[in-house]
Amino acid sequence: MEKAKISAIQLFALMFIFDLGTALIVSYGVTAGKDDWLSILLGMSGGIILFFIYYPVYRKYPDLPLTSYIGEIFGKYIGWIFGFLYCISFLYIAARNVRDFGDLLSSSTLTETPLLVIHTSFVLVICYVLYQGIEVLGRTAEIFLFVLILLGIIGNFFVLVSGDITFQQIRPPLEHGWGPIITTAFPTITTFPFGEMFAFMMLMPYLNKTKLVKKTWLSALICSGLILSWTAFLNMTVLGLDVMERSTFPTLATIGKVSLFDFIERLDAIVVLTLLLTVFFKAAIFLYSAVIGIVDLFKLKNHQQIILPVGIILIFTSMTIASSFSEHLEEGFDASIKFVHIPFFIIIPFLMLVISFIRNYIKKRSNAK
Amino acid sequence: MNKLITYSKKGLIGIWISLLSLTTGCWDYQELNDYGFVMAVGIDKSHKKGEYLYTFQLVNPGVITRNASGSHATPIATYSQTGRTKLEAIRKMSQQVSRRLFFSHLQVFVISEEILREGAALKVFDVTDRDPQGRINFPVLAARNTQAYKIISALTPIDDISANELKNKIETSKDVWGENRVTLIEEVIENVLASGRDIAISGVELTGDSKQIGKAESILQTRAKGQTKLKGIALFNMQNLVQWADDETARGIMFGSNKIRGAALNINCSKNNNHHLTVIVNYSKTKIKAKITKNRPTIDMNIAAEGRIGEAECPIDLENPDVIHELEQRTSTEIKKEVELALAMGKKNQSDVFGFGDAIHQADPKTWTKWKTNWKKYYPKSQVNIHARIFIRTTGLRTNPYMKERD
Repeated sequence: MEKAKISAIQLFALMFIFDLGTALIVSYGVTAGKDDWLSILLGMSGGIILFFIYYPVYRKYPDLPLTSYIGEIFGKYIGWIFGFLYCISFLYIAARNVRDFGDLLSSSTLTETPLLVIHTSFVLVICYVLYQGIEVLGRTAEIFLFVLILLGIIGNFFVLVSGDITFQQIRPPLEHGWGPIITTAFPTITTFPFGEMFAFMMLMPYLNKTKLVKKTWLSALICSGLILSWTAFLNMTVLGLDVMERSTFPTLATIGKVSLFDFIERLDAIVVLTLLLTVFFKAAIFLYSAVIGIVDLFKLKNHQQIILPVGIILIFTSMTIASSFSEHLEEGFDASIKFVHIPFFIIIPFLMLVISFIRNYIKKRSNAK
Repeated sequence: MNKLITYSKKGLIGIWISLLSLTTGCWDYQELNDYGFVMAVGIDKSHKKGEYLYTFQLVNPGVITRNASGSHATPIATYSQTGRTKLEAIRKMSQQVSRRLFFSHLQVFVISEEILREGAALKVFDVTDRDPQGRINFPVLAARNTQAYKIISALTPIDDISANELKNKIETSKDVWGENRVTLIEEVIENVLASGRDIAISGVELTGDSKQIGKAESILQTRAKGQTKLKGIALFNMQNLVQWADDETARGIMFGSNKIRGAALNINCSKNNNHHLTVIVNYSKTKIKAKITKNRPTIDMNIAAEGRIGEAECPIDLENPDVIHELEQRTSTEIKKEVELALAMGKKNQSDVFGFGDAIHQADPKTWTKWKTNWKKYYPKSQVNIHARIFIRTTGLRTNPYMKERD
């Protein structure tokens, strides 16, 4: 644990950017067809429910990171194993994020550059920021929040005025009923990206005002959920279902369609920059969570000494998790949701909640006696 | 001591130089003059089965940038290459062209009628869609009664690069005359195999002496020889070209599919004389609504247009609102007639050029799911009610024409 504090605004910036990371750019929720925006809104409400599973447990241990109090809930040894598994899952998701970013870059702008070069340079920068500590990351997020909003305004403005929007594309609504919408929202969208916010359980002790957690968390979740839903809506109205299903990066395709006066064209840079910024913070937060988890579990002195080794593991993992982008996506929507997101962000937190309640209850009873 | 300093200096320089390699920027960096800018692509039948002949029009940068007209080189150069896929042809082109082909400035795509009739030629856009260099917002044309490579090879007197000329031609014509549809690649990609709408592509043909095509002499005279001209709209049934629509029928397609941005309609001044006046249409909006009655599609097509009197070569009292009303009515009838012509041709060829299928999809998704696979069976049976209404707003700077009836 470092001795650092971040403010509520910084935490908000981190959470907000974290939620937008990759989800804003990669194709997800398309299984809901034309109503993916609705599905994202539902997923957001699922995210709010998840928060109320995480929150009571956090309230009991506001000064400890997840890896510490998980031991107190599940017992020393099982807790330690779970904590370690959490570190690995955080690292795995960080690797997925880096891979998303690398694949976008290598398939859109840097077609000749090897993936390894992109990943290495990206992860090294993340490592550098994390070496400086969470305070630096928080302050950086605070600044880049405004850059991101600016990019969002510019991108939205051009898409809206370009005249590419046809509302026919999202009609008729609910063509196949509520079924596909609900199955997409739960569990896929609920866990990705909203459930992934569980990683912040590792960072919560750094917040200077513990009372503001609820407000910050929920406001960040709702803001980002609305933006994600809006973006999906915009993508669908511009691209239509068919193109949307076939695009690897729908937002990139949407922006790519903008052509104003034969002069304002090829605004892909906006999307690439957005992804760069958001994924940078998302991967950084996951990596940091994994690192301080390891520091905590193995009782190391400080996190600086293992940042670089873990970073190199991250580079290696990001290269080896999938041999192709198709495999990467397939894994992301199937195996990763089933074996990482659902157990680690829904089932275990829920068990933690139940067990801590039971322990509380037993404690109270024994105290009463 | 001295030696130590020189050593460390050497070391510093070594580190400095090795750091330089990190600051060179993009891995993908390429010099502008390594690229050959492709402006137009043409696709023809190849003598080998399963292959197409791809023709690329490249800019000759030396001639374009040099203002002096003393140069003997043509502003464009075309190269042809066969290939089973487009990318094969593109990469193979390196055996002929010294530069790497660059497609971001592609203006127009021309496909010969021959292979469009055989179908399956519209699959070639995949590489344009997939490649990060590619754009899909430029028009595609069908080479009518000729080969695409000839269209691509024509030199043009006013615009140096004939691909630009072709693209500007179709865009201008769309705005002022309204018989040529600008069909973008993205539209083809979205609709070619979609069941609710068939594509339609404008045609381009050769005029003048086709032996003069591509010769510098062809444009070294005021009446340029071997030129290209837009002609008609090709109707498609799925991916097969089925029939050409010309003149009024072509304009009917434009009116019906809400593509009119400007047009000029000729109307007889009165029933018993052959003098004409021209109504300029400068706004038109078509709404298509569908419903199902008795297992049969019923389509309501509403066309609302606005225009003005552009020319009147006959004695007519344009100050009289009743006359204007009558002209409005006759113009509306003319529009309706043209759309009906287009519709009849579409029905005959099972070409759902107005997108009735999409309209049914919007109106009645459940029936559409049942009909989707054999929509072409239901489509010719559809009952279509066409309502056209044009408002003539002004008569220009004059009211009555100077042609007067003798007292």
